[in-house]
Amino acid sequence: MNKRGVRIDTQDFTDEQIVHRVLRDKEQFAILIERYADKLARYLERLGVFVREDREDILQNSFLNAYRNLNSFDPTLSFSSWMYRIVHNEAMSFFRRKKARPEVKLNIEDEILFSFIEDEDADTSAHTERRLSSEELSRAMDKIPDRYREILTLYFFEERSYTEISDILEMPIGTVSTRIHRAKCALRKQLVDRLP
Amino acid sequence: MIDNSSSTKKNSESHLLAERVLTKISREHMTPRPRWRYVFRNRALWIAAVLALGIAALSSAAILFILANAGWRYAPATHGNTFALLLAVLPSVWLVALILFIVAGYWNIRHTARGYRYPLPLVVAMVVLFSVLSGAVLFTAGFGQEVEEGIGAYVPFYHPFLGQERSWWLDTSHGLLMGRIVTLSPDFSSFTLQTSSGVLWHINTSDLRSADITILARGGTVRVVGVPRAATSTTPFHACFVFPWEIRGSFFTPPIPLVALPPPSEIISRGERSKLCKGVRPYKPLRALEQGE
Repeated sequence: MNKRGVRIDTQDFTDEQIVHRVLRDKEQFAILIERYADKLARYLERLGVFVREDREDILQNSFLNAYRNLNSFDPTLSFSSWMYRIVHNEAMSFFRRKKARPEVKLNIEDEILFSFIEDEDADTSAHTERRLSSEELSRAMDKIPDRYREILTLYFFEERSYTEISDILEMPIGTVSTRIHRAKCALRKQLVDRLP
Repeated sequence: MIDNSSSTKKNSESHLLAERVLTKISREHMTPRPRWRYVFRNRALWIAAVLALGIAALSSAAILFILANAGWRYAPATHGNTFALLLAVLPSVWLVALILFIVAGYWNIRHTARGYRYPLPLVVAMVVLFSVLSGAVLFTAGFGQEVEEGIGAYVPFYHPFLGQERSWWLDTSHGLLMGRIVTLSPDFSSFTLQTSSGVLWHINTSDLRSADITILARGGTVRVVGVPRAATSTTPFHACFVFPWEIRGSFFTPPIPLVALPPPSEIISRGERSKLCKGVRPYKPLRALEQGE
């Protein structure tokens, strides 16, 4: 039971089922919020929203937006992608309002970092002699265009599939694939330029 | 507490966020917007897309009508060369309309609920193909003129194409004349032509040959290329060539033949035209046209 007297077993329902139930009982929206708040907060941080209060504001607005537009949710998509889309758009509006370009501050293991730029088709021999630090990759990510950075964030950090990225960024899957390839090339070029 | 809640800080933060969001929803009496609004918006976008592509198809039909009736074969007589004629007939208004409405159709499709999923080249190709092919169908079905003149009448400063073309062919100072055949003398030595403004022209046919006479005998509207003369001159217009005035992409009713056509040998003997005709027109290109008739 939650404070409002609703007993919910989160394991029992899919997101889509909960959406359906929220339309009858708004209290159940809490389940969705609790399921996604942390993931989405991490995503916002990766997008460059570093101030906690800003993240909370964006998340609150996003969930309120999601609630208002719950009837526009297409059950053939995943709720997760739909929610990421709302948060992504809210974050972009936030950056526009602040007239700021999102910055990247990564904090992950070097081994994982290196895998980002590895490409079976590319000659990465130049990179293998040296591991990359979070700072180096962050700086390189900062130098690539926003459209590349956001797609790399979704693909590598959020581990979203092409279909999910297509739904989040509202672009055809073919474009997602092309853009990821170009983004990797752009990032690799930045890293190569930085390597001694 | 929700069943699987933990005491971690993160969970507590998300729980607080959920509380804040639900409190705000209750305080502001927020409710999900009704589904019909999204359904309506989506359908409206599809309808707008279809309408935009429909208008693009009409523009395409008008472009085809203009290009099909530009009279490319007569360019040497009317404009000196094909490029000059192309510049004169370029249907810029319709081309702009075609592009605008194709873009509008594309935009509407892309903004439907799942429009972003369709591959860009596919949507562009489908939209362009649909507009052009539908335009071709409309044109072939005979709606070209209706569209060009009917819709063109609502476009400011737009002059329907056939009116322009008629004006090129009502220029006797350059030896060009067009109009409906009113009478044809029994011996085919002359005929009378009435222009669209109602002016009657007496035309000397001494330099015409069997191909030209055949066209005259069919009746209807014709183009005449002859010896240039002042519009105020009282002498009959001396014709050198006669060509049919056919309108493609229009609900065309064939004229009733003026006379039963005698065998070509009885009309006029083939041979070179008089010096009057040879000197003043782009004789060779027109002669070649006539042989192709």
